[in-house]
Amino acid sequence: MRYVKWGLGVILAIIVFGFLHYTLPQHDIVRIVSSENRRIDFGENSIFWAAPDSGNATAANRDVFFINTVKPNGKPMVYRNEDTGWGWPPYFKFDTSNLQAQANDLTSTSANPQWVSVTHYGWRNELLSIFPNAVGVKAVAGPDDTSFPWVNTVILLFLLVLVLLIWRMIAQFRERTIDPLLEDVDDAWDDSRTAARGKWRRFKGWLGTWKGKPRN
Amino acid sequence: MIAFFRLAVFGLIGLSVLYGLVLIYARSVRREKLEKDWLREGSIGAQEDYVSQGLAEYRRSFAKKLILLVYIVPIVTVGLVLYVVNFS
Repeated sequence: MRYVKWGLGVILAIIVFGFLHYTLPQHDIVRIVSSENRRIDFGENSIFWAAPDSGNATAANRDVFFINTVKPNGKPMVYRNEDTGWGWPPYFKFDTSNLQAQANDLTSTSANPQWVSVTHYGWRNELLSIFPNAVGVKAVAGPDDTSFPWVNTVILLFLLVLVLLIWRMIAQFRERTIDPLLEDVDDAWDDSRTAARGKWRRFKGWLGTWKGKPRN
Repeated sequence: MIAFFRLAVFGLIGLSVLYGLVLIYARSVRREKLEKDWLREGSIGAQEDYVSQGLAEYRRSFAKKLILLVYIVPIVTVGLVLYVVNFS
């Protein structure tokens, strides 16, 4: 039973971590090589794609912007560039076309690199053909540029406060509402037992009178 | 626009549930505190009177109005994110 409990706990922790890792924003330092749009027919991986440009119709397939980049270590990284609109995840991104123009503007060659910080969420997975969604691009000084993840810190602290609040709420509800109820039930049970014992004793006393014992 | 209204309606339903829960929780905490205050101050008068008077004061207090932040903070955050992501 202990292993089952631990197993379920570990699975839950992995799901929560994976969910947050997918959804929270991250910054990559990359060099933009080119950008394009491709028609995508969504299949098994459709959950990993966002929404069509806000205001457009939702069809079975559509054109999606892509930003092709190279990381400082020479490995490629491809981002999609899609609106999230009013849906999940809550980035409220509507400026897809503007972002594509910015990305085009920051395109550079390996001979004369212009490093950019791409804010994105999501994962790149070759087996599923899924791409992280770029949310913003910003020119940076060099490939070693770093920044403190303020947004993630605030969001995680907020989630922690929310979890603590819910935990306190449940504890308060138990202490003030459930426990008194249980005490009432307990008391009622005790009362009924005392009453029953009294009846039993009286009955035994009555039986005793047949054998000549005095009632006590 | 349908997507916006969907977010608005379900978001407000969610926030209202949270608001109601926080309201109940805050009142329960306040009642507990008042009961303990009554004991500490030497159990003068009826406890129920002391507690209900304290709760009436709480109902008019600024602390209770602060619970409206449950609505204000998320809506302001959405506006802020919308601005930062798209227009800055």
